[in-house]
Amino acid sequence: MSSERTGGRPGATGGAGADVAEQFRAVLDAEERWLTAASHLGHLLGWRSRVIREVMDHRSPYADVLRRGHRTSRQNEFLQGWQALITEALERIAPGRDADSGLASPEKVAIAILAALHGGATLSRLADDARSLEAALDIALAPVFPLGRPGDRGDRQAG
Amino acid sequence: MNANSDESPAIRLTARGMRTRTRIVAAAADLMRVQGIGGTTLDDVMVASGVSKSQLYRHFEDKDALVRAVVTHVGEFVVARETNMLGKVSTLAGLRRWRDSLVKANALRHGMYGCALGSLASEVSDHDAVARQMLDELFQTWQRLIDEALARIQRTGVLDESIDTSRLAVGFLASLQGGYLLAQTARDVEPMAIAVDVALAHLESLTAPGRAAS
Repeated sequence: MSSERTGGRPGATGGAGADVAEQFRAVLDAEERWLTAASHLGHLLGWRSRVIREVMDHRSPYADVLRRGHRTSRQNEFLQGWQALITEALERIAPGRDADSGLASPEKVAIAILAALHGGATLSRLADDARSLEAALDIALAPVFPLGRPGDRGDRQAG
Repeated sequence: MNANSDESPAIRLTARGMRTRTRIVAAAADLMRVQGIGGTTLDDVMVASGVSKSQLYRHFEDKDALVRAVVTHVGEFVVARETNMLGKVSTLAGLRRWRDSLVKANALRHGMYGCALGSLASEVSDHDAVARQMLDELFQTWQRLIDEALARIQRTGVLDESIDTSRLAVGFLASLQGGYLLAQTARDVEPMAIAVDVALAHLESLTAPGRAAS
């Protein structure tokens, strides 16, 4: 991942010796910038494509923070911060889903998206193939796209 | 998978040697599950398995070789368990029971240890291409078991024929693995349950009207 994409902040280039806290911060900063600016479903699809690119880029802090089993309170805080950003974006982009679909409240969809990112990143890294991550994200995002499978649209958009 | 990919240079094992090897691998698997690969030293394994250094190195030339043996050991257990649980699933209710079983098992320890195979996958070092390939093949086997269950559900007419069950299966497996990790970090199984439930809700949204309860 380029430092340009993470806003040029310290740790954004993510080398092996980069401090974990800086990598968490770099990812959260980039996510905050993207997700607070997202105001419609198209932005969410753009976010999906960007995150997949980042996770599959071995130099990206996204790849590092998603593959490490830190199991620490710091990682828990990082995940809670990311989950809050996704939840707020979903509430803005797709309000009222909770009443419509029961399970798929923005909070639950946000948790499912984070799970898809982690599990998809693990499987995609092993196979060196982004398809697991794409499929996982499409299932997690499905409640937000009532008119069809987001993967179809996302894949077309991603090219 | 190369059955010998986790072996040190070929040695002919006696029954006693095989028991020693099994003991080393089981101890290493337990330690790596709790402490992680990086947090487990060969000295830890020697103490936990009660073997000498020379015995350990007779079976495993280095830590990478031991990690590969642990991958095989854990993989055999997980594939056997998943074959048993998913092998006869042909309804959505059966798939929900599979979900319940995994979530309940993980809840016993508040999600602390996650998925044994997933933990190895997230920790195996980048330089060990052999271990990565072994893990990839094991996850492909798990994915195939989910795919076969979904295909059986599809053949009952609950799911439309046009639905790509293999893509759903990989998405299910990734969501499950990510759920394990979130549960592990939060020390709470709830995020895992939510991740799998969202995947199941998606599957139910693809069913023909009135067929989701099948």
